[in-house]
Amino acid sequence: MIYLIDDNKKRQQDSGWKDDKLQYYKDFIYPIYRLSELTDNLRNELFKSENNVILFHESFFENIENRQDKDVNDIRNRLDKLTSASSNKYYVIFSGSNSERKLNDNNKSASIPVHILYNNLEVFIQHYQNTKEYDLKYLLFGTNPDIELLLLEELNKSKRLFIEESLNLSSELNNYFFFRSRLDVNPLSVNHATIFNKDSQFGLNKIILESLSKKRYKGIFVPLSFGSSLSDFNGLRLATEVRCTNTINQCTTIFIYSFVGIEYFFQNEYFNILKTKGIKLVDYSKNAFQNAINHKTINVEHKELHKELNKLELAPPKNYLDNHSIANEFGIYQLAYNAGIDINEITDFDKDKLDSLYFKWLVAKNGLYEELPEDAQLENNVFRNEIRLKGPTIVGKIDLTKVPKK
Amino acid sequence: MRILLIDDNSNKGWKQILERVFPIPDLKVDVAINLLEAETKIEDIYDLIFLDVRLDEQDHDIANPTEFTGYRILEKIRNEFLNPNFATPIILITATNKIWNVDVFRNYGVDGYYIKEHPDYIFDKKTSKQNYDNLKRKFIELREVGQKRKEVRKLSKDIIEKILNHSYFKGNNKYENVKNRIIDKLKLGYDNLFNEPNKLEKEVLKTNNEAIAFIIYWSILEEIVKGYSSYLNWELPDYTFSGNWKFRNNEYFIEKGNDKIFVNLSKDINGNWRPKSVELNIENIDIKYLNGKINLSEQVYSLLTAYKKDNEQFKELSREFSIINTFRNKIDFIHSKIRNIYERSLIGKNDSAEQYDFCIKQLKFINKILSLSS
Repeated sequence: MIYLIDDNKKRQQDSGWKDDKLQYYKDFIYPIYRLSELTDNLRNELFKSENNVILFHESFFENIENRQDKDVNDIRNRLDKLTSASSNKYYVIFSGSNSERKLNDNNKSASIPVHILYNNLEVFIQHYQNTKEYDLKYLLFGTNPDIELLLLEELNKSKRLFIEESLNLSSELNNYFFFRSRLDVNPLSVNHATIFNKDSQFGLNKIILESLSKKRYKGIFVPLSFGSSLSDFNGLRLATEVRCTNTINQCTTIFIYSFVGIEYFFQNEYFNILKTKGIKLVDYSKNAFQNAINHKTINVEHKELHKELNKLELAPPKNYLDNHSIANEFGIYQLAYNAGIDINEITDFDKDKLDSLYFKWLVAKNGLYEELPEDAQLENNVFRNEIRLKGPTIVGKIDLTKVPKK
Repeated sequence: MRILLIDDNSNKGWKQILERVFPIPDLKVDVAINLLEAETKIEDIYDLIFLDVRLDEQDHDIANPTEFTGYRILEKIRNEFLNPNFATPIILITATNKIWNVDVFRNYGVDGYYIKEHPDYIFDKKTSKQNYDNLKRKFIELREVGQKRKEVRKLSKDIIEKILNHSYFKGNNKYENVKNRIIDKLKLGYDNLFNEPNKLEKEVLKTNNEAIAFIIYWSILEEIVKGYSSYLNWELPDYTFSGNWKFRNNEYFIEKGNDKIFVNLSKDINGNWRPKSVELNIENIDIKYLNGKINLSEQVYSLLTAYKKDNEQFKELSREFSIINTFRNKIDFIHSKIRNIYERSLIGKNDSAEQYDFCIKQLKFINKILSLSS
């Protein structure tokens, strides 16, 4: 039995799993919305039986009813044990803040984004119906469970050819920045950063700020794939995040080096980054790299950036409660911007959002990285003095350094 | 200044951002994040309220805006004239993109709105700045208007409370009717005073709300005089004047004798009304004393005469009334002076401010009259 533990029924329904569909698969899937539904019998069945799959939404315990349930600690402890290496039960954690798929080495546990789970759940059940075996690869990768193997073969082939290629790359590459994964060839520039699996989900913002804030580069090379699953094509996300992060290289040309054709990733959420100015898809070869640095590239200009980023149409992450949550957060940011208030002064504001790609995209596509014009800043000062009802009204500035001394 | 922020996201940054956008030294921002908290908080009086449209998760499944939590709270604030925050300006602060939703709220007393910009329909920078500029402008405007509204409402409330506790306006259908008319006129006067005319009304139709409000408040004196008078002065069914005008403290204004009429009010050599009794012959009497069609100002002086504690009190109240009455005679909407008709335009530049001041004076005067006891 597959136990689907998710406190938000609406989320299920919005993902296509309405009551009739759950009813259709009732012999295979058992939805649980509240801790109180886990009777003693059900709990024993869930945790003791070997041939169960537990699909658990990360925010389940944050639901107020579940939080206050008397058995919350017992259930939490039992679930925690499932994550240990010795556990031989199928256990998948899914959440809206998750942006990549990760299948653990034992192939019995995984973590995936919400939409991936609900998109592939039916395929996963159907595979079990046909074979009487659970295979988490179907849950992670849908109808193409062997995609990872295929991509790894292609990547290794490209790497081998790259190394064997006799071309000597120009030292000009040292004026470029290289992002690489641990599966890639050795760094080709003195300016590089390796993205480890632990960074690929939540650490990209930090890596970008550390790597691209100090020196302006002629271009940035980004691998198409890195992280726990090659088929996530995280390079597209990284390129998007570079474009949305406020650094001196925000508009620098990006070369995404790919080891497969676009037919593998044209459905990726971040594919549209390739349609924006200043993003080039190049082959994973020395020849392609050399051509990239030989040709004069035209960077996207800062004033064009918001227009280019509007082409992306990113969907809000699933960990937003609803559209109004986004409007509330963005509304605060927008008001702070117009009023010339530093968002860091708003301590109640969820600062983690500022580092999230979606929020950074919203800010960037609306040009909110630019400083407020001087006349708007002056207006704000005048207004603040007006409503304080005291002090002189500021009408301008005097530069004392230009006043001649006696 | 006390502000109430009614928004389920108050503690996720909105309280703090408003405190910084409006850095008034003594500003205190209270919050209510749901219907229950809002119902408690609105028992206190605030200078301004920011109100969200949807506070409950279930609101997102509702199509009818009058069923939103924000609207239910708005009803509780505005549904009774005596509610503590009836006069408090309200700014809607909302993420809705449906202008008809905002209209529904404006139709029930919301004074302005600020749109929380949603990423799906974000304004360009210029429009976004306009949204912010509107908020600032509205804040300043409503802070001033709010003080006036509170002043008028307080005076009206004092009058209403006096009437509700006044023995003259209880226990009899006719006097209950007088009471209700007074209360309705107070509401009508408040409405006219603070119903902001649109551009068309101001520029083309020459709307002058302050003058109309003053006339309404002025006319309350009719009700008060009749409330203090015995209804038996007029014979049913047509309310024909009986010849006697007696107040309820048994003092006469007009007393009918065999062939004489006694009037307990007359003018001194300066033309001012004084509490002085005069005996008039029926043959050559002014007809008004026979048919009871006395102009309102004289009625009021007669009331002050009948209920005066002493001459000092009479002088003070009649002086106060005389100033208001002089203004009333000047105002073009009751009977215009000939000079006005030939030489003066209908609406002068400074008329509104003066008319507002006289509305206040009138309300204070009504309060004083209602304090006159038998």
